[in-house]
Amino acid sequence: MGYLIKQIEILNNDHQFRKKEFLSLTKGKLKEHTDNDFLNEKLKYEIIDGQNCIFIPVVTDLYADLKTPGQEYKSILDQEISAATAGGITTVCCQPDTEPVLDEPSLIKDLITKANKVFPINIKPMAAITKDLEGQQIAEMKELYDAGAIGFSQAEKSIINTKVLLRAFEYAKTFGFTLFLRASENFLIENTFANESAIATRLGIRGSNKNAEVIEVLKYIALSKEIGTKIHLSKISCRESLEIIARAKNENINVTCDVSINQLLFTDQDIDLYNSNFHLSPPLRSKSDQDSILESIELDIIDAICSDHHPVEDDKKKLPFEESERGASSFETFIPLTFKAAKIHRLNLEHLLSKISYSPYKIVYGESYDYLNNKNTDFCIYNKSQNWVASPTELKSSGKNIPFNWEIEGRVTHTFIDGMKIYQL
Amino acid sequence: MKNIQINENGKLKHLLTIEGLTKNIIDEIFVRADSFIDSEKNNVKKVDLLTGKTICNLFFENSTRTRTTFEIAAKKLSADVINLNVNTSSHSKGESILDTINNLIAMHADMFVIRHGQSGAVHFIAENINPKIKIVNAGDGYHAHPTQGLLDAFTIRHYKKKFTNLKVAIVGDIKHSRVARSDINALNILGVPEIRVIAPKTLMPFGVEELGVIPYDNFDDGIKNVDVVMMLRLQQERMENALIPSHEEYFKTFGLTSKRINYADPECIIMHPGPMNRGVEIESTVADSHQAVILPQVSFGIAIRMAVMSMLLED
Repeated sequence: MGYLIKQIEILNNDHQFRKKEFLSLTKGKLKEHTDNDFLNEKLKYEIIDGQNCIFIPVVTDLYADLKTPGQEYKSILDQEISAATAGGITTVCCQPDTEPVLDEPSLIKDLITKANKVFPINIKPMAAITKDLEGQQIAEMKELYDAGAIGFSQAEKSIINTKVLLRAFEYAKTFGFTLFLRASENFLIENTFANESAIATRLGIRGSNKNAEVIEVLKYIALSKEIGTKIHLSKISCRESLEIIARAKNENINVTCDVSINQLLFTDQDIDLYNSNFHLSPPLRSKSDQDSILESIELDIIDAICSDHHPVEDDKKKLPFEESERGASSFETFIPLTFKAAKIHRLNLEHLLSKISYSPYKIVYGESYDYLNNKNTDFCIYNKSQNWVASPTELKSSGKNIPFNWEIEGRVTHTFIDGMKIYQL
Repeated sequence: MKNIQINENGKLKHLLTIEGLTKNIIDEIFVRADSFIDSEKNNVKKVDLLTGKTICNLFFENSTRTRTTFEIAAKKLSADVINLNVNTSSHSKGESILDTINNLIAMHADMFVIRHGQSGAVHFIAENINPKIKIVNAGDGYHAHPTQGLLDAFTIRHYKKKFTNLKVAIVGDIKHSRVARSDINALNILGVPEIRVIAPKTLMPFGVEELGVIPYDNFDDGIKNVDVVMMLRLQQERMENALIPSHEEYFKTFGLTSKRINYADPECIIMHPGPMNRGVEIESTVADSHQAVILPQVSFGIAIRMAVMSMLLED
């Protein structure tokens, strides 16, 4: 079986849209054609009409929570992998703050095996930097890497003991591993639930000072500069952090960073009247921070946008704001929200899409992706004119915690991994 | 901000916060409270406005004082009252707030007076229960304590007659105070031209100016020529969280002393929502002075709560 995609716009290696007459996919290899003379009459082709559609290669999500291991009895992994494929995501980097923590090679292997039983999606777990994420003892990074971990993270926890942090930087550098770090100072975020702002003051919600992020960014960059460890700062949210990262990049310090898609669409003003679906981590920041994020995307200070997918059960969201579990379900809305962000903020769409595809791919795999010449032909097809509402019944994710109720313009219609169609709407 | 406490006719449906109330609604509450005070003067101890109605005091956080004033107010209106301290009841057994409330609704309560430790918890309940049930917020987290805000404004009205020529200072732990937020909202709506908040930076909330106040971190400057000084209670745990170094230093820098009150207008009244920490936020002689209106505040509190409950439940 081959596939013939007609009249589709392609996000090419230069992050530009190019309309192609014919795109064939046979035996896992993608080729472009100007006419249909190439058709092999012995081979059957499934025709995909690419009108109004965009071919987006290697959609790579750098920050997601699969809630596995830990909640297998609720079949959450199956639902989340299905949601990722329905969202067109071809590589998922998941976090180690699970139960048990991903700090053992067998747990990494087991997670990848179980996920691939659902769909052969690329699962790239982040293993814990320290055992049990306790910040005391460095985890067996080499063993974990060999088992399939793509990098190392403390998820939402920071390493309080700076000596341990320094050792982690040194040890990761030994093997050339990347540390994926959330800049979030434990003491300063304790018992906080929103951005420290006038609106949090008005609503009486305990707010987190931006310094919780800024202090950690400064610390991580200082260590990276000294030791040379490659670091990736996850879910940056403040203007001040981005200013520091911009300076670090100018100094050629080995740092990359991403932001959550939620920060592009929403601000702390959206919390109004305690909508617990906007209870996120990091908290939604101010309009000024959002402006800085948008500008930093244009200037490539921000390398990637992550979904920050975090499914939450209804019972844990339907609670007073501060008592509710943080997070938004966003695998299935990730690409549409990226399109929406480009539209409402008048950003260059091709550039923005590269931040969820080519750019994070390079961070994870260490090499650039070429959509025609590669080891794995991974892509999705996104129909710009397919409108839908992310209702609980429509979503495959176990988390129905979507922080908006408007109609979504555009939807993923097909997802291919390693040249195989694994999802069709 | 979405306002779920006002119905389509502009009438009060719940009392969750003072923010968003109109001056007319507040005036209506005050006029009603006046009438209850007049009845009391005429030895009418009880009115039968809420005969047959059941009011449930649902306190997720301990408070004998506030709960008692609500209870007295409800009984004076002839309502039946149930008191529930939920933190010692089903909530600690893992039952969700909504399950607790729905169980109580099934027992046919007409109104819930709710205190909860989390900001927004009372809004959450109001949004999620049968709309026929009335809700009064008796304090939620750091957010609001609307009946306290109303009774404080009512007390000021009683002593100062007008709001539009006043300078009011609120002093102390503004950051963690629902009373301060409700007072600020009420005084702004009633047209007080100058509201000052006085606190060390550790107890001053971010962006407080946007609430319509002028912040001061020096008490002596902030109290100058004010007509009303409202002291706030300092909770013990503030010291434990490194927000202030000691009670002694706090008293020295932010305590209301007989010397400091001299900087205020000679006719200045002194208020405190209680319970007071004598020698921490206020000197004993000041608390007991002729300028202090702390006990009248408590009495007015009953009239204000009667006014709110009767307005919400009458039809």
